[in-house]
Formats: sequence, structure tokens, C-alpha cells
Amino acid sequence: MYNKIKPARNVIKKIGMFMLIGTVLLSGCNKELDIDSTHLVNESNNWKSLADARSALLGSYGLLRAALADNNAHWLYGDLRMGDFKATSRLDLKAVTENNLNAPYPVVKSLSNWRKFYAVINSCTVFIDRAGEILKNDKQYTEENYKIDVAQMRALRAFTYFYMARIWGDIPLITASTDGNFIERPKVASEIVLQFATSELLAAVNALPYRYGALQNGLNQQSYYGKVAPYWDGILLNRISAYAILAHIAAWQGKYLDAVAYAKFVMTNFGLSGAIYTTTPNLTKVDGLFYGNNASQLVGFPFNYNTAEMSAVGHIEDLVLAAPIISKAVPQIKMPDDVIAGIFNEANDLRFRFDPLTGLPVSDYFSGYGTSNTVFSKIKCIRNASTDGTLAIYSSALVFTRMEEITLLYAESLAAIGSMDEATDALDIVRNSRGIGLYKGTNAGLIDAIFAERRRELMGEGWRWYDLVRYNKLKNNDPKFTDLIKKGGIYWPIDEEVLSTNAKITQNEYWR
Amino acid sequence: MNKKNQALDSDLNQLQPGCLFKNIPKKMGLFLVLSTMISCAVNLQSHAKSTANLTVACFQDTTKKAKQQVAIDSVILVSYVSKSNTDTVKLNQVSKYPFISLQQALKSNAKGLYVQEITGEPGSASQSMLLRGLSRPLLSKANVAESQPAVYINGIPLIGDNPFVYNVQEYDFSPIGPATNLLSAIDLDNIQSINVISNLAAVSIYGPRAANGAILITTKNAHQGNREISVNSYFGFAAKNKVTTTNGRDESLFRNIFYNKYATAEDFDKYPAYLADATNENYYGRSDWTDLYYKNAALHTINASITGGTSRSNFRFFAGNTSNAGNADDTRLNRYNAAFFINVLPLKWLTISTMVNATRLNRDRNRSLRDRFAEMQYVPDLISPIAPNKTIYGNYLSEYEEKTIDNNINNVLQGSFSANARYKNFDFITRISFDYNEGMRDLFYPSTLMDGNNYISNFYAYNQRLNIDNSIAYNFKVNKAQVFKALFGHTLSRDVNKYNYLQGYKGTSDYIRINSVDGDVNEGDYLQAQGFFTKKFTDKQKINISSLYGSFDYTLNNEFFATLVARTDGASNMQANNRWFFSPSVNTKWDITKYLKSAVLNNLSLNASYGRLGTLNITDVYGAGPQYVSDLGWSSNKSVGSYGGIGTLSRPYSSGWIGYDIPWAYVQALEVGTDAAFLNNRLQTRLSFYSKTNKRMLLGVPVNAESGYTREYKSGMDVNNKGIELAISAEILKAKAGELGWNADFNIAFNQNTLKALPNNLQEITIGNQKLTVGKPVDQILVLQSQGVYQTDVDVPVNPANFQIMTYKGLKLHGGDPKWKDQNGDYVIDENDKVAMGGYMPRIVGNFTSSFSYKGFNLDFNIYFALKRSIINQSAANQLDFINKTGNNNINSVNEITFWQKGINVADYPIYNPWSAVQSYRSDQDIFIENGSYAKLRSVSLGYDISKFRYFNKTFRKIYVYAAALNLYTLKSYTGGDPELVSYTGEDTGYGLPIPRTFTLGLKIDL
Repeated sequence: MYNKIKPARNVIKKIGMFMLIGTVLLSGCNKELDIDSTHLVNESNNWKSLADARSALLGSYGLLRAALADNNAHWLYGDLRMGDFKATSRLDLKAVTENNLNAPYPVVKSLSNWRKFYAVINSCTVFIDRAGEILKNDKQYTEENYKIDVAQMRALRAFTYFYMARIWGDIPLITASTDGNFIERPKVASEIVLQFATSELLAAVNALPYRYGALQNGLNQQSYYGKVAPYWDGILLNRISAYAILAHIAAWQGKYLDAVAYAKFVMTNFGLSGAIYTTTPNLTKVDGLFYGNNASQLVGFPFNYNTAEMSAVGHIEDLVLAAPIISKAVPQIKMPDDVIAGIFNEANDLRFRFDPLTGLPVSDYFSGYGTSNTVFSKIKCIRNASTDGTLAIYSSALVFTRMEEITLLYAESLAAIGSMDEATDALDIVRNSRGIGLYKGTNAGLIDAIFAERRRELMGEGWRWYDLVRYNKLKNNDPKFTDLIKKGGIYWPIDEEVLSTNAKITQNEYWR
Repeated sequence: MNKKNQALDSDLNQLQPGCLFKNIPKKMGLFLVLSTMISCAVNLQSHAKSTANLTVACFQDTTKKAKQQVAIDSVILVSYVSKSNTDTVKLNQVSKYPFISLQQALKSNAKGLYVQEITGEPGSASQSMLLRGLSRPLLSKANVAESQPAVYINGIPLIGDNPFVYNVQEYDFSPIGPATNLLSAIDLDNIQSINVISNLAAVSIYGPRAANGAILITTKNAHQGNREISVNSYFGFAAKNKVTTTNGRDESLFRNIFYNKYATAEDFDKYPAYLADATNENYYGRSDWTDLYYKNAALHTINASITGGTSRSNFRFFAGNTSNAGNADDTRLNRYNAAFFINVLPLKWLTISTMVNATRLNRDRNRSLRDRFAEMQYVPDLISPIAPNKTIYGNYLSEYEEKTIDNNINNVLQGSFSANARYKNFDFITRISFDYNEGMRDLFYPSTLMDGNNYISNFYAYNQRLNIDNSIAYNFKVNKAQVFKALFGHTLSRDVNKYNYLQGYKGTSDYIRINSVDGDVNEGDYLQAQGFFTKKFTDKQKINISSLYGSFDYTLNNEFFATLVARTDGASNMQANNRWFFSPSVNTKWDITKYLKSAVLNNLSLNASYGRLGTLNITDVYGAGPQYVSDLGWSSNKSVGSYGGIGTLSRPYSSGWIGYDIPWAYVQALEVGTDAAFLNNRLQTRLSFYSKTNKRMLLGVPVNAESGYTREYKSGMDVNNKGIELAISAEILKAKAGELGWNADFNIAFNQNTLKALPNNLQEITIGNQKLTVGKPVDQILVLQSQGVYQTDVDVPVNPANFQIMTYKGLKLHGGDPKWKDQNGDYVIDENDKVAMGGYMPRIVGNFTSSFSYKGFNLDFNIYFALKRSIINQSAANQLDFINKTGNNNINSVNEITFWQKGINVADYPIYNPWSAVQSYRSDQDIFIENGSYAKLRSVSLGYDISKFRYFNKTFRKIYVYAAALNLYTLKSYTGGDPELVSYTGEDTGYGLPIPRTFTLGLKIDL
């Protein structure tokens, strides 16, 4: 009897033990189910520290860089559309050069979709709304740092609106974050959008330093997120950048009087940001103005080699370079030789000229002129400023504006309001540094000369299309183009994906 | 190791064979060693007592049963109803063939299972299984992963590669890393049984992992008895394909048709240089590349096992090697298996089982350009394809063979330690089990392969699943008529997926094939890569699942059976307020045989089941709700995360907004069926009707672009699958000694999917090139109807209302453009003019197996068919759209060497203007949609059992010799290649390697 019971008791004990283990496991259940993901930050863990502010701030910049780099958008919008370049084999690029912007090629469709730009708008707005929370949580995050950050986000948002208004004209204007509520909003007249952008920039401009992390930057804070100048040069928007953008908004609106004032601020104070005028060799060197980030890139977006942000797409090089600079045989776009000769029609131009003795072309802007394969090689920052083009990845910055550009805009604005002498002086700053000497033409031809200079100087920097629009608005002498302006043909069509998700938006009239 | 630039030769760079498992987590390794030691110790101990114990009769019985291993699923499968709902794969037939993956083995051998192989490359991860149709639209590779049934080995749920690697990939043709199908780790000769369960109520005991069905694999296990030794082997080859090659002249003639009709002078100027010169020997000469590309390739397997022991302790050891090859591009998979099982009964009431099942997979991958560029995330200039000439192609291959390193290795390991205690009517099981696998790829491409650039990448990943199961079962016999069983259990499952990936570009020379770093702490570039320009990626994901379940079985008079399962599952990747989900199910069966008095009918039972089961997310992003991620990528630079060298965070604009209150998605199913047996059980049939609905699934709904987001993830997509399945098994001629025996099996499954609801009560959504409409199938293919070509501009219709010329999405149509039918008569051809032309999933799949036996001979064959399915002939569209394809110079422009293979017959297609901006040869038009139905004579084998001879039958239990052939003949109407080789969404891109015809001779010996 006894023998029979004993094992049974053991068994019960052991089963009990098993069950105990089971219960312990069960009680740990809910705790087992709380895991913070390693590849994202949830709402309750963000907006807590200085680092959160920095990540979010730079994230907004990065989103704009992505929008401009995607499919080389900045250059397709600016240089290709009815510009001097011609597509070689890509029919989608051909459609852009010929203004057939409703051709349903994937790239053209992607360029007509403004979502990526509105991601920047949302990101800036979220920052403006939320960054104040960090002030309470992290003592290291100072009031001044906070103010600089918010000013940058307001400036960046204003710049993004300006960029979009140039492309689509009337666009929805969103000024408060509504994350999670997908409210459909109608388009607003581009004048209102640009007015908003201007007032935002003016409100932000005094909170922005001339140079981040520099001793004399107009503010108390001398190191910015632990870094001193020149770290942030050409990476963040400073006070000079903001005025440069203001000048452009004004010029685009035809408010040239304002443009003169804003551009003049840049012309006077640019030295505080560390910016300088660029020599011709520095313009075309592999490690020159466009390489990496530097203070002369007044509004720039970096694609640095040493931070592994360089890329194949997102550069003019991707479109224009070919053999002998890189291994690709034929570039995606090229400029016909006669067009080049027509543009550089003045002697001694350091950028492109014919040697008067031999009649042969001399140029850093182009390679192989005269052969069937002329390559536009002004900008050629391959990897770490390498000359070995076998791996075509580029580190050139996207430079929206630099001193020469602002000087020419200043000249244009002055000419537009009739200050011809001052305008000529401004134009001559650029002409002199490019070897073509002083402007000797008439006052009547000044505006043409300024735009011709822009065409030469800013080739491949995403300006040609917008220059054409401003030029024709000023001159009104090309009936076809004037008609295009009148009918809204200077704007891009809106992608069907945008139209299908917002009933309040209609296609731009010209493209209906 | 702190020297810079370690110039190692290739041998040293190979993985050290000693470190088979580089990174098994410590606790797991410890557990393995310990459990094996304990088992061995107990084993030895009990061995001493074995003679005494042999007399204990009752345990003789249990150990015999232990042939079906003592593990958690044995208890579950005791449930009668669930057992009756499983389909058992006939392994003795399947294991004869050189199937390298589970998918291949199950294809054509299970009911209602659709298997898709998108390439014949052995061991490639591009294989999928779908049980009972399509539970969701396949918008991404992740959707394919979410639709896979769960696979269990001895009750251990296997963990696969997580599709999160695609997040850093520019192109998703195959995942980064070895991209090996982990289900090719299973050696069929080591398998006792494979059961496929598609009934939801039957599968619900397995929990949410099995919401798409379950495949239960039971390995051969240790069991008591005299020592048994088995040896299995086959040798054979994959036969090379015969194809018609083309050269520059053919291509030029083809292009001239279009040039002569539509080209401008400018277009003629851009005529590709490699075709322009007809004296170019490389392109216009011999096209004999096939000699180097298609080859007969040897295959083999050899394995042996030993089983034995006493009733109180027994063991099994299995080891094997298999090599499987494709017939193209030197592709191969080598597999090494080792498995070890121990069962011990140290006490009368306690059984301890240990298993370790280890596999190593080593894959030789294809040498295609597209896969190489996709891996490098870099597309070079593609203006001229590689020449069709054997010498030129041979040079390329020899560079590849001599200088390239491409090691793809996976280690797969399953193990469990379980203890089973029985006392009276209680049965307690506790088990710790894990599935661990790791994948490595070391890659080096020399500079000679691409414009003087070399490339290196190293990938290491592991997936790990640890399960802790506890269950208690109670059997209770109320009286003779009523039997009651109850089971309660808890499972805690912990998943970890992790990878590290490093790419290096532009190394200093081709002799340095390793990415080394500066190991000197004092140097400024400490741990910086030397020589290569590098990019690093890493990610890790943890998901835990906790499940509580109960199952109640009731049997009345052995004629009525019912099982009720109730469970609640909590997942760490669900939002905190929606963490748990309760799922009940009920399964009944009524045997009505005794109420029927029929001479013909031997058995008839009716069954019905209803249930629901939560479904799991394979990512943890939805659980976090609104979130911040690194999302700065653009075309060609998808994964960049920093700006100005500093890491960033922003909202997930490109991947989509995720809000709060996301509930569990679940699947709900109703099934009724009947099983019948006729003519002395010689004819057995099973018929079932089901309707299963996947509910509340998440869908990325496109949102207004002004929000900045691409989409918003919303719960609320419902997809219903309805179907009928019929299985007939007939013993047409009964096998008797010396007479002909004939067995035949026929399975057919009809399935129709319907989209029942979309989030936000939407009626239709267009996502990418797929349009989802409520009430329509989720896999519908929508296309424009082509009615020829507009010869001239004046042929294009003009809208009489406003005198506007007909447009394609606003773009005026011209002569040479396709005459697309304007379905809605608005003189604008757009998405609204598209009509549905079938779906990419077959509506009918099935198979027919027949086996004859005569004396010792066996002749088997198997036919597999998939009907009512459409294929998008993307390959034809690419060929006709040569202007855009080469002009774009993107990853889709890559022409492989197979470009020089006879493709379409141009006379079958209208001649459009390929330069037109409407992109006349777009694939979304009816001329490229074809009927994709096919039937394949998939396998034939002839064998003879030599052990019938008296000489052998004393020493051998079995000596079976056989010859087998696979993929012999395809019946199809599709004009392209193999109708199986299409993408998940029905596109035949032409990139898939052929599924080879194989011939093997084999031997199976049991001692």
C-alpha cells in the first residue's frame, strides 16, 4: 500500500512544480509583450532631448533634398524644360525638353506629383508645433537654439512653398500640422502662397545666424549642436540664405523693387557667412565650389562623400556626363555644338572660347566639343573628387544660389526698375571674373545681356527655365511664350494620383 | 588583426569550416549542449535497467506509439477531428524525386495547395505556397510572406527570413543575402510524414501563425527495436534545354520593321552601334553562347540513418548530403543534413525527448547581370548587350569564375527538449524548442566585370524562434458512449530577426577581396573601411507572442465527434490597447454509416466547422502607432538616413502613416464536407466546400498628397475565398501477389477570391498598377483593349462635342499609336477604359497521381495542372518596347545573354510606333494577356524491389531500385516560355531560369 502511494505523491509534487513554472511564465506574459522597436521611434519617446530636435530639424532638410534629387528633379524642372539641352535616347527626357509634360512616363508623372515637397511642409510644421516640448524636457536645449531651429523650419517651409509655386502655380497652403487627419484642401492662388512665404521668411530672418558656429553670427550662440564653422556651411539656411530666397520670391512675383532691397542685403553682408565669389577654375574643379559643402553655396544641399550621402541620381552629372569623364558612352542629355557656340559668343570667355590663333575650342565647361559627343562637364564631382569615372557616384552639392547668381539677380532687378548704371556695375562683377570684360552694350540691351550671362554662368544649375519665364515676363517679346504664360502653360500638370486623392483639386487649366 | 589592408587570397577568405554556427546565441548553445548531455546521461543510466524494464508491458505499447514522436503536436493530433482534416502527402512517392524544397515536394501532391516557382534556380527563395487561394492582394514581397502557411517540424514552428531586408533595397527581385529558400533544408528521406491542414477550425489549435494553413512535418524518430539502418541514394542529371539562338542580324531585321515604318532621320542616327555594323563578327557572327549557358548538370543525394534502442531509451541518427542543380548558368544547391533524436523514459510516467536537426545549405547562384546590378544597387551603361558569341561570353564567364567570390551559406538548426509526464488521466507536456537559422553571403565582383569597378559585400543574418510550451491534457470517459478530453496550454514564442550588411565599392585592387578596417585605436580612422567606399546597414526586430488555449473534445457513441477550441493570443507587435485577440472554433463530424444500409457504400460521414483565428503582422511597425523613422531616400539612394552627416528622424512619409487603434486582423471560415468510401473502401472520396474571409486586414490607402504621406495604413480590408475541393482515391486494381495493381489519386480544387471591403468604406483603390474593386477578385488584371493601329493622324477619332482629338490621358493620339477602345466614350483613353481579363491566380488547381504495381515493379506518374489563370507576357512587351527599354538605361533595361534566344513571333502583334509618347507597347493592354492554364506531366518513376529475391530477404528489409524523371511535358497555350515561371503577380519577365527536366537512378536500402 505504502509503496503505491509514495510515487503518486512525488508525481503530484512534480506536476505541481510544472504548473508553478507555467504560472510564472504566464504572469510574465504582458511584460514579454512590451518591446520597443529598434528601427523606429514612437510618439512617446520623441521630442524629449536635444538630439531629437537635431534629428527632426535635419530630417526636414533631408526631405527637401530627397524631393529635389529624386529623378534629378531639380535639373529636369530647371535645365531641361524648354532649355538648351537635348535628350539623347530617353524619351521621357525628350518629353520634358519639348514641354510635353502630360506624357505618361513614370519619371514625368513623378515630377508632376508634389507629395515629396509636402512631406517637407509637414515635417517643418510638425517641428514648429512640437519642438517646444523639448525645452521642458532637456535643459541642454536652450531657448535661443530653439528659436534658431524654428526660424530655420519656417524659412525652409517658405522656400519649399516658393519652389512649388514656381512649378505648379496655385497650390494648397497648409500652415498647421494635421497628422493623421487627411483633410482635402483646395488650391490657393500662388500670390497668396508667395505672400505667406515672404512673411514667414521676414519673421524668421532675424533669428537666423549669419553663419552657424561662427564667432560673429549676429547671435549669442556660437557653437551650434556642438559644431563650429565651417561644419554647417552650405548645409543649413542662414540669414544670407533667407534674404537670397526673399529676393527670388520678389523677382518671381515681378516685385523688383523688393528684390533689389533683399539682394542688396546679400550683396552687402555675404562676407559674414563666409561666402565668396568663385573664380572660374573653382567653378569647374572636381573639388571646387560644388564639391562637398561650403559657405559659398548660399542655399545648398550637400551630398558629401565622407558622410556617405553621395549618390548616382540627384546630380546634373548623372544627366550630362559621359566618356571620357565616366565610362558611359553617351550622356542622357547634351547641348548641340551650335547652341554652345551661340551662347558663348564673346571672346576671351574663360568658360568657353575659341582660341583666336588656332580656332580650336578651349573650355572647362565642355569636353570633346566638335566631336559628335560634346559633354557638358562643368560640374563633375565624382566620389571624393576623383578623376576616375568608372564608378559614377557623385558628391556635388545641389546649389540653389551662390554669389554670382544673386549678383545677376540684383542686376536684373535693378535693370527692371530702371537703375541701368548700377545694374551694369553688378553685371560687370560677374563678367569681369569670367574674362569677358565690362558690358559695353546699350541700356536697351542690358536685360538681354544679364539673361545671356545667367544662361552662361548658371548652366546646369537648374535656372534656365525660370530665367526664361522671368525674361519673357519682363520683355514680353515672344508671343508664343507670352501665350504660354497667359494660359498657365508655364506650370506643370498635376499628377493623376494627386488629383484622384483630393477632390478639391483640379488639373491646371493648360493641361486639361 | 590590426593590420591595414589584409591582402588575403581567396582561400583564406572562404568561411572557416570550423565555425559552422558562427553566432548561435549563447543560451541556445548552452541549452543544446546541456540537453544532449542530460539525455545521454539518462540514456546510459536507463540502458542498464533496460532488460528489467522490457518486461513492463504497458510501456512497450507507449513506445511503439512513440514512433509518432512525443511532442506537443502528437497530443494535438490525438484530436480525432483535426486528424480527419489533414491531408497526408504520400511520402514514399515524393521522396524518390530530386525535389530540393518543401514547396516542390508538395506541389502536385497536396490538395488545394498552389505552389509557384518563379525561377528554376535550385534553392532560390523565390518560391511560394498558397493554401486555399489568395488571402490578400500581392502588392509587395511582404504580402507574399504574409500569405504563407506555417511549417512545423515535429511541432516546432519554423521561422523564415523576414522581408524587412527589402527596406534598404532599391530593387526587390530577391532579398539581399544568400536568398536561399530555408524550406530546402528539409531532407525528405528523414521525414516520416507530411500533413497539410487547410481547415481553419482544425488548424486553430496551432494559433495565429497557422492562419494561412499549416504544414506539419514529422521526422522519422527514434524508436525501440532492433537496430535499423537505412541508406538512400540517387544519382542523375538535369538535362540541358534546347533553344533557338539569334544574333545581331535577327535583332536588326526585327527592329527594321519599326524603323522603316516610323523612324525619323534623328532616330536612325541613334540606331544602336552594335547593330549598325553588319560586319561586326561579335554580334553578327555565330550565336553559340548556349554551349556555355545551358548544361547537363549532375545531381545526387546520399544519406544514411541508424535507429535503435530499448523501450526505455532509444535513438536515431541521420546524416545526408544532397546536391541539386539547375540546367542553366551553373546553378546548384548543396545540402548537408544531420539529425539526432533521443527518447528516454527514465520513470514510468515521464518521457524525455530531445532532437537536434541541423542543415547547412550552400548555394551557387546565377550569374545574371540584373541580379548583379540589383545587388550592387548600381546600373552601369547598358547600351550594348553582351555578344552572343561563345568566345566573348566565355571570356566573361572565365573572369567571373576565376575572380568572383560568391559564397552563400545557410545554417539551419532545430532542436527541442520535451518532457511528458502521465498520471492517471492527466498528460502533461512541457517543451522548449527552437528554430535557428543564419544566412551568410560573402561577395566580391572583380573590376574586370564592370567598367573597372570592383564590389564587395558581406551579409550576415540570423532568425531565431524560441518556444516554451506547456500543456496539460485530461481524458475522461463518462460512460461507454461518451468520451471527453480536455487540453489546456500556454505557448510563449520569441522571435528575433537580425541582419548586418555591408557594401563596399571601388576597392584598390582585385587582389584585395576583403573589406578590412583600421584596427588601431590610436589612429584617426579607427574602424574605418580601408580601400573600399562602404555603406553599412543593420536592422533587428523582436516579436513575442503569448498564447493561452483550451481544446475540448467530445465523442458520442463513436459516431458523433466535436472539438471546441478557444484561445487568446497576445502579440508584442500589436498596439498596447489591442494586444490580445480571442478566437474560438468548433469542428464537428457525424459518422452516418450505420444508418445507411448499402452494399456499395462503406462509409459516409458529414462534417462541418466554423471558426476564426487572428492573423499576425510580420513587422513591428504597426504596433508602434504614429512614429518617426529615417526616411530621406530618393531614386537610387533609397537608404540614406543622414543629412549633413547626422542621423535624422522624420515621419514615415514614403512608407505611410500609421495611426492608433489598429485591431487584430483575423480569418473566419466556414466549411462543410463529406467523406465517403465505396466498394470495400476501394474508392474513397472527400468533398469539401469552404468560405473563408480574411477580415480587418491592413491596407495602405493612398491619401491626399498634400499631407506629405503616400498612404495611410488602415484596417478594414476583407477578402473572401470560396472554394470546392474534391479528392478521390481509388484502388482500381487491387494489388495481389503476382497480379497487376493500380492506384489512382485525383485532387481538384476550385477557388474564387473576392474583395469584400476596403478601409474607409471605399469602393475601389488603385495602388501602383493594381486596381482593387469591392466585389471583384483581388488579383484581377485590368487592361486596355487594342483594336489595331491608327495608320495616320487623321484616323484618330475627334470628339464631335468639342472637336478635341482623342487622347491618352491628355496626350493626343497620332498615327502609329494603338487603337485602344474607348469604353466609356469620353474620347480620353485612361484607367476607366480598362477591362478585366482574368486573374493572376489560377481558379483551378489539381493533380492526378497514378501508380501501377506488378510483382516487385512500380510505375508511378503524376500530372499537375493549374487552370483559368492569366499571364502578362511582359517579356514580349519588353522586346517590342525596345526603344524605351534601352533608352531608359535602368535595371529593367538589362539584356541578359538570353536576349539572344528566339522570342516572340512579331507577326502576332500589331506594329505600333515604339517612339510614341503614349508608350504604345505598354504591358497593360490585352495583346499581352494570355491564357496561362497548363498541365504538366511532372514526374514518372519506375522501380523494382530486389528484396523480393530470396537471396536478399533475410538480411534486407527492403532494396528498392528505381529510375525517375521530372518535368517531362507541359501542355499549354501560352506562347512564351514555361507558364510556371511568372512573378507572383502574373508577369512573365523572362528572367526566370528554366525548371529543368531531370533524370535520376536511385536506390533505397533498409537493413
